Amino acid sequence: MKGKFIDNLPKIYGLYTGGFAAFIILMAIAEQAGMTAKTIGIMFVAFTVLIYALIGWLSRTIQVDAYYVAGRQVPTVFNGMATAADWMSGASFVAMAGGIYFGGYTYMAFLVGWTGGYILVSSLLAPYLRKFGCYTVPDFIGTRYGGNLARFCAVVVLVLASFTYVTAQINATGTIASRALGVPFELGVWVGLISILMCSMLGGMRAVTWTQVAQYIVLIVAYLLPVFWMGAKLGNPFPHLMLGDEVARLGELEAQFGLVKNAAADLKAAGVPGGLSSISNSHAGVPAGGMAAWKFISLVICMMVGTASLPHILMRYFTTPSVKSARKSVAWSLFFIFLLYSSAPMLATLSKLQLMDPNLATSIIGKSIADVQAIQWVQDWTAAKQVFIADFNGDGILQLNEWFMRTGVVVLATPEVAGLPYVISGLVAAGGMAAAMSTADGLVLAIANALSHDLYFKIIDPKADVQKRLIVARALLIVIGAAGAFVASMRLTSILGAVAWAFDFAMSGLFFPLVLGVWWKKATRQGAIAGMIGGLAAGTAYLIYVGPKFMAQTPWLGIDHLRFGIIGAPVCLILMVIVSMMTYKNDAEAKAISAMLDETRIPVGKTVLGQK
Amino acid sequence: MSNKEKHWDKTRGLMFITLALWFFFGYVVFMFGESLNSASFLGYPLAYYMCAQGSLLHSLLFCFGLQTNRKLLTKSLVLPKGRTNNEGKIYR
Repeated sequence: MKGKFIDNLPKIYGLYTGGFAAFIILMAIAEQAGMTAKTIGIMFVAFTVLIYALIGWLSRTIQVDAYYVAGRQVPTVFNGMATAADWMSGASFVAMAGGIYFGGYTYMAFLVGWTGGYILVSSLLAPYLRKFGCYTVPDFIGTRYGGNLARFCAVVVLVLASFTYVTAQINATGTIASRALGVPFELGVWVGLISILMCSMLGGMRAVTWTQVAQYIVLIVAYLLPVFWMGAKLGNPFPHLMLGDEVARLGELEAQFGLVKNAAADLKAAGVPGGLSSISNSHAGVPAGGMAAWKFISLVICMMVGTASLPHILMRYFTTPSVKSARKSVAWSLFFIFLLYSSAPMLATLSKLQLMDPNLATSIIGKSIADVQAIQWVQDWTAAKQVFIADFNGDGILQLNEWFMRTGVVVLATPEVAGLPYVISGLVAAGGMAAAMSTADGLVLAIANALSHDLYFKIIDPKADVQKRLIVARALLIVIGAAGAFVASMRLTSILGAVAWAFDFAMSGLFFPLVLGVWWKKATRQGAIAGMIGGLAAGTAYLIYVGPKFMAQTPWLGIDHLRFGIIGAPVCLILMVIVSMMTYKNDAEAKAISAMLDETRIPVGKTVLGQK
Repeated sequence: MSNKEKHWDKTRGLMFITLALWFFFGYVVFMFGESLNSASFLGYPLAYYMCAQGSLLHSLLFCFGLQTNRKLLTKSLVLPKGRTNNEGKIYR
């Protein structure tokens, strides 16, 4: 029966996609028949979440291999889809286009960084980790370097990075759930958590894989449909290739309205809520000077290297049937990610144009404030404190610097701004929920697996039987999820801040121990331990030094709290190389490791751990 | 030199080429963002195009190319007939 399921995947997910399309059409008809916007929103979120829960329940398992690595039989393309859903978080879905909307070119460093990192994954890590045959990332560190301390350090880095990330995702699910279901944020967080746990608890990696594929389909439809629809409305059915004129037009409009940075005192006096911004950066213009270029590049470095060290992504490539398919699956992951990322700037361009171009009926900039405030969607989002109008110069006309929006609202509100039917807004909410849930699932599972497999089974109780291990894994899943939801409900940082921190933590502590573990035979246990502890400590210390909520000191060379991995990773590399060279001995252990690595580097044959 | 050593040798060489291209499309291009933007591609300013699509496309195509290249390398060097993949199935 199991083999049958794998063979029938295209048919099953084809049916699922058809069913989802039918559901969208049904909702569109219901909207015409007079169903309220609120009901449609609830229907979309509830229906999709129930489907995920059903998949999670159908994929329940009591086998270790299935629980930790989905039985190592996920086909290439499907693993690519699952990785893409795992990868594209609530931040990618909800905040990316919004970030480009406000930040323009500067912000697009995230696009470059979050795709280029996969070259590192594909060439330096994924195939070798797959050949190694480990269950978790610390499992590789622990076996390659030997000893419980190295394993424990890797677990610490993993938990720190993934936990930072997961609070951001639970925060995003809470935001969307609270808006779609009309409940307070604090309650929305727990609703989000329960939905997440329903997907992963019974079936571990296997359940998460198959729900992530389903979530990818929902999120990509929800993202692309509005982009193509708006593009077609403006006469560009293929926005990705045809928006050159629109980008140029935005440049003209920016010159016409003027890009003004509001003074902090003005914002305070006008009572603009925190977290809302106005457009003050050029959309396509490159800021002048070497410092601006360095800030762009340093952010790209952090995101790329962080990509290649995030355990919840690396562990997805443990689930493929072979080394070859692991590598191929990286390419497919990138394909599915590219579909969304290449659309984000187009969405930002179209959405911005709709508001700014006086030739379009939807524009609001340059119109009288009284007229703008009479528009339905402006009223709705103002009531939700996501949008704000401040008439600084008192002329009664809405200037570009007088219009404020929260970053996340750009994607969520764009269908309404463009005058698309509400069914599209409901779809977008479901897509955002899918993006945040799928990433949170992958992260919670990565943490729980590392703790149950590496900390509990390998270090604390190596004699524990299978049943006990899986019970521990599931209990940890609940505890970690609850802790994440608790921290998320306190809203310590913005969603994007927390995401960038996760990348920096991971690159500070894990990147070089992983890469050198495969590529440098003379890397020793002491070197890896020194690198992990030193890199993480240096990065964290620097974060505390510059972090705006901590000591808030002036960043050194423009390396601010989003980029602290630039400090941590080199410290990790230098310590690791020096200590390894001091401690390397050509003894029996070194010869065993050398033989093990020779085997790891051959892309065929049984896994290294499987041979023992 | 055995075939396995040759395989690793080529793999390592390929890794350096990969990293060089990665460095070019990820970083070098954006060091000159300001001057690149005066050129245009598909009607977009070039630096804007590179970070909206160009660099992303490079990563995507490169990953597909890399896996094809590695597949052929594996076939020619480490795979005498009838070898099996990780799970013991015949390598296709």
